[in-house]
Amino acid sequence: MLNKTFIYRELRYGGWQAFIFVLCVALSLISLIVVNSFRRDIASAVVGDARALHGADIIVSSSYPFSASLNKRLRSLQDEGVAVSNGWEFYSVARNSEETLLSNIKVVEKNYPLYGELQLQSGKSLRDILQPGSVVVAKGLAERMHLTVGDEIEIGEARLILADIIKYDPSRPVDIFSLGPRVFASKADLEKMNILGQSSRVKYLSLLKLDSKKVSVVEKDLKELVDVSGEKIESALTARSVVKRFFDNLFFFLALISIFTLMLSGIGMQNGLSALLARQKQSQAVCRSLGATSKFIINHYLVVVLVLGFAGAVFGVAGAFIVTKSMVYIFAGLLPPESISNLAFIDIIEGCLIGLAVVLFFSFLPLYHLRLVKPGMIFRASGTVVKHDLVFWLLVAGGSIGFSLLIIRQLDDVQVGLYFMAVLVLLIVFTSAVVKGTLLLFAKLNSKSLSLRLAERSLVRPGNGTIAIGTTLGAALVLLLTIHLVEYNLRSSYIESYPENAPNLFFLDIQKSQQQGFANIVDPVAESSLYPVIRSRLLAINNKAINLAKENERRSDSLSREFNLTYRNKLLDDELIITGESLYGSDTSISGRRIPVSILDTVAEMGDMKLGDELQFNIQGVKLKAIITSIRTQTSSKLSPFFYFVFPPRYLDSAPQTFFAAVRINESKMNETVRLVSEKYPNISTINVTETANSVGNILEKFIRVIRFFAAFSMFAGGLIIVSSIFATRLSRIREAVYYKILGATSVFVQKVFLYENIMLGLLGIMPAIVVSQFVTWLICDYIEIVFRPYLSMTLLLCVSTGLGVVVIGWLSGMSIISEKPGSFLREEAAD
Amino acid sequence: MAWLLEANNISQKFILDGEEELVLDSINLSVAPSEFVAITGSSGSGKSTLLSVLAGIDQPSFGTISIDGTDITTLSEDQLAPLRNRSVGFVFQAFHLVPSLSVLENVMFPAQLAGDNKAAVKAEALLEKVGLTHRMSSFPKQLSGGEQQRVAICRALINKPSIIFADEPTGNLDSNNSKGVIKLLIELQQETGAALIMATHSQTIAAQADRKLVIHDGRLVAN
Repeated sequence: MLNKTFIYRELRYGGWQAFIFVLCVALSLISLIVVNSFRRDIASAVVGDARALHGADIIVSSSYPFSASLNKRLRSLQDEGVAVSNGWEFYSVARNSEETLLSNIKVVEKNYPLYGELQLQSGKSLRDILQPGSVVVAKGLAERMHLTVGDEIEIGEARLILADIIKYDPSRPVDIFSLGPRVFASKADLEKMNILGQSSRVKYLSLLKLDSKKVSVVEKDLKELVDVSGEKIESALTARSVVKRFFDNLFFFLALISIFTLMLSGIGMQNGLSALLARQKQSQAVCRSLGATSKFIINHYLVVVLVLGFAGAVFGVAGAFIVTKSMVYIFAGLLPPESISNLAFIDIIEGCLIGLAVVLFFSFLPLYHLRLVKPGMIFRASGTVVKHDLVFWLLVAGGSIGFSLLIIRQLDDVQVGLYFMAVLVLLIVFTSAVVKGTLLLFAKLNSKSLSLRLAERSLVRPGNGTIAIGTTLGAALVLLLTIHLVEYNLRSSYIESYPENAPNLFFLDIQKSQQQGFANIVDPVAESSLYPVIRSRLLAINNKAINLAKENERRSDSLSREFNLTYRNKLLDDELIITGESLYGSDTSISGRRIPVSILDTVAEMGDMKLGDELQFNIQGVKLKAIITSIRTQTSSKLSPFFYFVFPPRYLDSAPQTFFAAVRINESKMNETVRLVSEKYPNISTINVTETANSVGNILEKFIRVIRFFAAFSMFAGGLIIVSSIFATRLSRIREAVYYKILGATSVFVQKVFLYENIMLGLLGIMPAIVVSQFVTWLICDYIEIVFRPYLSMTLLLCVSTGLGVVVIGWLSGMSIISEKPGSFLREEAAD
Repeated sequence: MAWLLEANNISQKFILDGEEELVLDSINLSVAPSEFVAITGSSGSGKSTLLSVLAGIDQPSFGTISIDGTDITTLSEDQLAPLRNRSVGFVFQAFHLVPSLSVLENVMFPAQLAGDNKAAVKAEALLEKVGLTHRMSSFPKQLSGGEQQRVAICRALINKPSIIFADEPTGNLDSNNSKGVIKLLIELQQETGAALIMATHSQTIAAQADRKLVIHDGRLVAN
C-alpha cells in the first residue's frame, strides 16, 4: 500500500533536484513533440502528396529528345487511355525593357497538371489562362521585374503576355531551391522561343497518369526501353525531388538534435533524481530500519518519479504549444505559413508516451540502486558494493533495446540509427577515456598550492562520480561545439569564401558558332574565359556499372546524374593536384595508351575512385573509357566553376559541345550585358553569381536559424546537466567546506578550493569536447562535401565560455555553502 | 589564576519551526590550562551546543567567551579561522573526516593550513603513536569507527592546540574501541599539556576528569 503522506513529503521537499528533473522531462518532450509535429506538417503540406509534387504517377525525363522506341511506347500508352502530358523545362533569361532575370521555363501542354492544382491569383485554372502567346509567372518574377498582368515579357525570341501570377504551385511547394522563378508557357510558343535544338540544357518530360494498379507494370515496361543517353523513368513515389531531399536532410538533422536533447535531458533527469535520492538516503534508511522492504521504497519513489514526470509532461506540452505557435516566425522565408499547423493530439499522445519511456529508462538506475539502502546507513554512510543480478541486466538490456528502437524510429532509418548508437557509444567511451586521462593528469600535478591539491583530491574522491559528470558535460559540449563548428564551416564554404574578384556572371550553353559573337558583346566590358562543356554520363568504374538505385538514395550529389566534361592542358588558378604527378601523367606511367582523365577530389570520394581506375562514360551515345591520371582539389568557394572530369583536348575537342563562360563584370554594366547576350543568343543562360551567393546566403541564414532554434533545446539541456551535476555533489561540497572551516580554513580558502574544483570539472568536459567536436565536424563536412576548417579560436572561446559557465554556476551554487555556519550544518546533519 | 578559557553568561537561542528555543541559559565557565573537564547531561541538555559555542564553531546569542585572552564572540568567521586552526582541536562523535583525503592527508591538513613544512613528518609520527601507520594511505570510508576516531584525534592534536574539545568521542563506538579511544585521548592530552573539554554520557569517562560539570535544560547545575 502506498503511503501518500510519505510521497507528498518527498515531493514537497524535493527542492531544486525535483525542479531540474521536471525541467528535463519538459525539455525532452518539447523537443520531441515539436520536431515530430513539424515533420508531420511538412510531410502532409509540402512533400506528402508525391503525385502532386511531380504532377504524375510516372515521370519520363531526359536531357535529349526521347528515343524512337520510347516515343512509340508512350504513344501506344496514350492510345490505351493513359493520360500523357508532355513538357519541356529549361533555364532562360526572361526580359522586358528594363529588367532581365534568369527563370525556370516550363513549357506545358493543355492538360497540365495531371495531379494537384496550380492556384493562380485570378482564381481561374491554368488550362483556361495559359493560351498561346501568354505566360503565367511566379510572384517573385513579377515583383523583381516589376510586371503586372497584361505586361509584355520576352523569352528567347518570343514576346509573350503575362496572363496571371502563380499563387501556389504544387510542384514547387517551397520556392527556395531553384536558380530562377518559374514561368509557365504554352507548347505552342516553344518554337517561337527558338531555344530548343541549340544544344541548350533542356529537360524533356512526359508525365503519365494511370490506374494505380498499373503503375509498377508500366514503370518496369518503360524502363526496359530506355537508352544509354540517360532517359529516366521514375514513379512519383521513387522520384528524386530537391524539395523532398532538402526536407529529408533537415528532418534528419532535427531528429539528431532532438535525440541529443532527449539524451541530455535524460542524463539531467538521472543526475537530478540521483541527487534527490542521495539527499533522502537517511529517510530511506530509517524506513528500512522500521521494516520497509526495498520494494516499498522503490514503489514510493517510482510514484514520486511519475508525479514529477507528469508535471514535466504538462509543462512540456504547454511549452511545445508555445513553440509551435512561434514556428511561423522561425520558418519565415523557408516555409509558407499555412504549412505549419497547431499541435495535433496524436503528437501530444506520442510525445507523452515516448517521454514516459524516457523517464522510466533514465530513472531506472537511481531507483534500482534504492535496493542498496540498508538500515545501517542511519549510523554510518558506508559504501555498498554494487552487485547486479540477472534481473538488473535483463532490465538494462530491455531498456537499451527500447531506447535504440526509439532512436531508429526518430531517425526513420535502421542503418543510420544503428550507426548513431555505435557513434554514441564510441563518443561516450572516448570521452570517458579522455576524462579519466585528464583526472590522472590532475592527480600527477602534485601542486604546491594546498587549495589546488584539495580540489584535485575532491575530484578523485571515491564515489564522487566525477568521470560520469565529466563525460556527460563533455558529451553535451561536443554537441554544442559541433553545431557551431558546422555552422561556421557552412558559412565559410558558401558565403564568406567567395572572393571579391571572383566571376559574378556565368554564361551557359554558348554554341561553338556563338563564341565570336559572345566575345564581341562581353569582351568590351570584361575579360572572359570560355570552358568547353561536353555533357556525359558515367556508366562504370573499373567495369562495375554505376548502381543507379543506390546513387539515387544519396543525400548529396550522386554519380547517376549528367556530368559536364571539359578538356584543357593546364590546371585552373584555384586547382591543385593532390594525387598524381601531373594532370595526365606520362603516357607510359599510368594510362599507357589509354585516354587519361583528371578528376576532382569530391567526385573521387563519391565513387571511391583511385589513381589508375578505369572510368567508362557515355558521351551522347558514344562510349569512352579513360584512366584516372590525377586527382585535383579546388581551393576556392563552392560557388566557383568546377569540373569533375578533365580530359586532354585531343580526345574531346570534336565531341558535341557548348561553352561555359565565367566573367567579372562591373555591376553597372551587368544588366545591359545580360540583355544584349539574351537578345542575340536566347539559348544562353545567365546566372548572376553574386545574386545566387546572396540568395544561398539568405537560405543558409534561415536554415541556421532553424538549426539554432532546435539546438537551443540541447544547449539548455546541457546547461541543466551542469546544474544537476553540481547539485549532485552539493551536499559533499558543503560537508567538506564545513570541515575545512572547523579545521581553521578561511572562507577565501574554501572559495579557492571550489573555484579550482569547478575549473577542473569544466576542463574535464572541455578536453574531450575539443577533440571529439573537431572530429565529428570534420566527418559532417566531409559528408556534406564542404571544406573543413577547425576554427580553433572560436572553439576555445566557446570552451572558455562553457568553463566560465560551469564556474559561475558552481560559484552561485557554492555561495550558500561558503556562508553556511559550520555549527548549523553539523547540527542539521546530527538531527538527520 | 590565569584561565585558558572563560565563558561569561553565555546563552544560545535557536529558532525552531518559528519558535524561539533557549538551548543554553546563562552559562559561566572557566577552564585552566591542561585541565580535563567532563560535561555530562542527558540527551538534548545542550552539551554539544555548549562545546561548539566554546570552540568557536557556533556564535552564542549572548555572553562572551575568551580563549587565551581573546574574546572569540566578537570575531567573524574568517577571524575565527586561525584560532580554530592553532588554538583549538575538535574531536566529533561522527568523526567528520574529509572523505576525499587519505588518513595521512586528513591529519596533515590543519598543519598544512598553518603553513607548517613538517606537516607530513608530524602526521606520520602521530599516526604511528595511535597504531595507524599501515592505514596512512587509506580513505576514511575504508576505516572502522575506532580507526576513524583515532585519525580524528591525531588531526585535532597536530597543531598542538592549547585546548581540545571532544563531543561524545565514543558515541559511535563499541565498548572496546571506546576504552581505547578515551585512553589514547587522555594520554595524548597529558603528553601535550592541552586542556580537554569532553562532552559525554558516560559516568565512567567523566570520573576520569579533573572536574565534572552537569548540564540540564541548558543550565549548568553542578560544577
